[in-house]
Amino acid sequence: MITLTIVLLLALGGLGVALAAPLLKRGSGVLAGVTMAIFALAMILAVAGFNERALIFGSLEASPLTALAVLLLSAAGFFVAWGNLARGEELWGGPGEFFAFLLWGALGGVLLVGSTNLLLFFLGLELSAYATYVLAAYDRDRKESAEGAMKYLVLGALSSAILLYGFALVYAGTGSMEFAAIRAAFLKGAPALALLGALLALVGLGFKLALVPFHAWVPDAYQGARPVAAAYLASAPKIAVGLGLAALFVRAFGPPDAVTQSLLVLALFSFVFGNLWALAQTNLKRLLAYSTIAHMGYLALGLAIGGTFGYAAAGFYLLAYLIAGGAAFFALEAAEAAGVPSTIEGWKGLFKRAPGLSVLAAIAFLSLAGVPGLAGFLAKLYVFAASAKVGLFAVLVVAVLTTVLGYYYYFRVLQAAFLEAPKEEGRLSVNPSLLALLFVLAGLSILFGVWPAGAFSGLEQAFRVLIGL
Amino acid sequence: MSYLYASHLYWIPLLPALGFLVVILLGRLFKGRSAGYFTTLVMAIVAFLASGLLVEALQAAPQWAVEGGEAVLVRPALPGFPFTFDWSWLAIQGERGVHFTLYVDQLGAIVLFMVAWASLFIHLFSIGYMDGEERYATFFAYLQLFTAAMLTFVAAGDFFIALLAWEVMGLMSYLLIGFFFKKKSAQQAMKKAFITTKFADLGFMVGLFWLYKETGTFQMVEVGQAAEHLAAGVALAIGLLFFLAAMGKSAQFPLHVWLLDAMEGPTPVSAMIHAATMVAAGVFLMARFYPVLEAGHALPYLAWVGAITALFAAVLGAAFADVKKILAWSTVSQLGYMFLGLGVFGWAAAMFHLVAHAFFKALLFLGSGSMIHGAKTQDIFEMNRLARYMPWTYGTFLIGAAALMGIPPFAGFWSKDLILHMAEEHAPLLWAMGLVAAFFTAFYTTRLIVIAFHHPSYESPWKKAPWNQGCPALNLGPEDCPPEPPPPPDHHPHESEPVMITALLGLAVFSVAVGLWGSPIFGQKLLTYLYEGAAPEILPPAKLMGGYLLGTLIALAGLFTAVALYAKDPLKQRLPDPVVAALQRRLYIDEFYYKVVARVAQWPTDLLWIIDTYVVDFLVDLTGYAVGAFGQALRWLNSGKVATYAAYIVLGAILLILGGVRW
Repeated sequence: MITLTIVLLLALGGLGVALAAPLLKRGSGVLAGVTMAIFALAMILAVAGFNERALIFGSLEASPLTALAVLLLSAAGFFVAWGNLARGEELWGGPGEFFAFLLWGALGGVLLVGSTNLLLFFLGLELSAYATYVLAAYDRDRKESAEGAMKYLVLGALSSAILLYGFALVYAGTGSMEFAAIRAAFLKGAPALALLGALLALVGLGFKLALVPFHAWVPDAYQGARPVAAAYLASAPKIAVGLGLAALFVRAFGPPDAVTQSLLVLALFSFVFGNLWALAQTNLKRLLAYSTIAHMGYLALGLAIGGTFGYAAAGFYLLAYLIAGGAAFFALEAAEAAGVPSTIEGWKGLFKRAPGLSVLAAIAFLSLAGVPGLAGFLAKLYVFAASAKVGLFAVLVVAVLTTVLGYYYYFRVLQAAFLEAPKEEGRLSVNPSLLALLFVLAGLSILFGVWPAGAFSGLEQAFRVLIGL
Repeated sequence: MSYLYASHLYWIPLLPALGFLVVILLGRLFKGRSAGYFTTLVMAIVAFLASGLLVEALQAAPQWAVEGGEAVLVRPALPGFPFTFDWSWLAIQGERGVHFTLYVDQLGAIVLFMVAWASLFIHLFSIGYMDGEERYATFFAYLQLFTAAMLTFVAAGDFFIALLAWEVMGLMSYLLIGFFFKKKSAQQAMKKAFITTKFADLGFMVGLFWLYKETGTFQMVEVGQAAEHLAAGVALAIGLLFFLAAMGKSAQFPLHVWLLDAMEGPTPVSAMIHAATMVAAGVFLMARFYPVLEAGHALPYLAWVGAITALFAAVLGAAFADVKKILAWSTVSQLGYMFLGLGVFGWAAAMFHLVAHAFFKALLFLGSGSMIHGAKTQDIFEMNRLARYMPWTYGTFLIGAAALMGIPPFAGFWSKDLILHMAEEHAPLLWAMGLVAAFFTAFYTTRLIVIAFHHPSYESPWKKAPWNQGCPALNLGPEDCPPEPPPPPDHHPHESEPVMITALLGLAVFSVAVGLWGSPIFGQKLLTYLYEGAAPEILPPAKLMGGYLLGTLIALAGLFTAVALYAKDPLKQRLPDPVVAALQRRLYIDEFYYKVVARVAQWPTDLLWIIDTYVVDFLVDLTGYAVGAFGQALRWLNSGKVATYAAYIVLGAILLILGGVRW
């Protein structure tokens, strides 16, 4: 019942926010507060109902994994709503839909992760995708925003079509939309049509995860969007699809080796090329976009390995990335709000002008790079440990070497911010609510970097239940 | 049985580390003296916790009684003792992970107590002493981290953690010695201290890794158990490598050179380095490492180095005019006694001396700080009858000096004579050297008191001496290292402010109390507490009486000789110029390092520099350029055209299907 309550809370909450928005003239702060409160309530409910087991309306499964999805997605939405406080009033066309789609996007992710048939899975995926299309386009007065969002929408439609075609083939091959029946068919020996379908589904999901070669929309969409919206694009859909992929693999596909091997190849491509591309970037949003691609490669490595530990490692990766990647974008937002463009050139000497912001941003970048003591380090370590355990040493060596590239481009940002002289003088006044958000996120990075045991055992519990151990 | 303090013992090192973070991160918010008060408060809490821990350790430790010269076990240790704390990080899927292990036994508890309290008084004193200095808050932040590192080192249950704390201490000593880094001499001194101790640290690292190879563990308890199974040669080699590290940290001959120049730091730092932290760490390391030293028969090396250092430093102490330098020599010499004690099986006696010395040396250094503060000079000849103007400083300084000289019933008397007694039994020659050193100790201490506190101000006799121009020990010429100016002519000494006096009084109380605690008057309670299976020091007073008498006589002889020589005519030069020059230039050892060792060491350095620049750098740059060029080349793939992107997706899908079906 708690899971159902959460679903209703997110759906009706979104509706309420969307309806109330026109009534409030300058209500961004109020709406943000309401949205954050809804997300907080959802998180509390998810913790309370973490171990609930039920099948709702025959197609939504309440399980620890679903609760985990609620927790992570609500956290992402909570932070983005918080981050939007800085410029919510003056810049957006109207704040209502922004917050409504945050809530609905989270709802889509929850449905996607908890679904037990292909139909609900697809609906959940599309709902969460619509939220991202809208948020990417939200800054519609700016040309880049419209351009990036349009590219994203067109390519997203293409990938959804491929995914749907894949699902159709799975249905054709197995004769069922229900995960349980599909799983039984796959276990007997995957029918060729269904296998083809599963591979096409992987293409569609790979697009949402921004895996190479389905990644090309990411830099343009991130560059066009406001950093706050980019923070959402980089966290919530990844969480939903990352967890959803694990659920789909375990509940429906089995998965056959062909699928996991394909995912492994996509992972390899992503962290190699993502990191290489990121090296050459001078625009921070594009740099973070390529770094996201690389990070999703490491995540996909954990998903491809599978098993309780592999999935839990991937889950921890999502958690760490949600915190650090989000913080990096919020730092860009704070800097942009203070008039600093999101380029390496613009960030030169930022430490002299905004020391607090610089230090907190540095913690985010260090966590992304994977510096020990921060969550990002452990996330990589868990994934690498998982790949060592299953004997993927060649992949492991490549993965470790590519993280070194990551150090290069993250530290280039820090070098500009800390060691170089500022172009302009004078202290910047940084929005206090963003600074507070960055502070919280930095604290979380450190907390999970030093004491991962609590979070990790929760993740292991969720995936153990999923796998049915 | 549950222990309130022991179960939370990790707060003891953690609090000052947090204090450091708070002050260094929020430095701007600490206006005026507030950083000093804040960190002192932190230390007060730490001292409170450490006291609670010591009380619990006293209750839980095995109880011994001395009966007719034999130690008899009255009650074994309570369960849960020694106190431990273990926290692991990165212990993934059954891996061992990184362990942070704390281990507090009798010795650990008392040294933690000592460090916490001494550091508290040093913090308190610094509130007044550092007033008005630039980077006031930073200074206290450094003190905090220095203390945290020492506390971690003492509480470490794992040699690897100990090594980390040891290195942090090295860094903090570097930063604090060079606190006035605008002075050339401070820059040179900080480098000298760092390089000297760093060289010695190599011994720690090599020894530690070798030890791990042999025993497969970093845990101190396990190392102690494994020690007897080590081959004697290996144990000796590892023991000497660790001893090298201790020599550097504890300034033993010939690695003592950095300690004198560490006086470039503010005086509370000197107290910190000489009493509570740094130099005590070397001795403490040897105490923790004792099983291996014994297994490898390395103790005679300790004894010899200790005795030579004790004697040589005590003699040089008498030749200097700078109050801090005299005290620095006395530290070197007293540390020599501790190593001598360790080397002649007087483990407990050496530890007694370590704790006692920490308190009275902190007292003397802070006292000298008070003198310098009041007199505006460091030169004892330029001080002006300070006993008249600074009664509190004078009184507390006398207590510290009596402890140093070994006048009964003060601390040094009980601890030093116990070490000498052990030397008498095991190494008569070293015993004789120790006695001579004791004479000089009393001599230079009395000389310091007589001249600084009782004589009117003179023009300092050595400043203009040709051998004292510049700082030859720091490789600086006269232009880079001008002599300290004398105090302004119209300056009148004044007593220091109450916070500083409070610190002095506190340390005086502790130094007396610790001495009495270990004395036969109170049944050598401190020593029976430290007793761990073998403590030949625990003797009935009757057996020690001869040593006590001799010690007292020698101390008095030194005292009266100094009074006889300096009371009337302090300026008279009694030794020929070349001898005085040699003594004041520290027997030219420092110059030997600069002129010979440094030059010889330069050749391989130059070679490595060439390799580094032309081979390593080239390869690194090449890798970087190659990767960067590749990254640039890949950019054309992102054309920005939607059709191209869609083509990628479709192409990727086809490839996946081909690959998957082929599978």
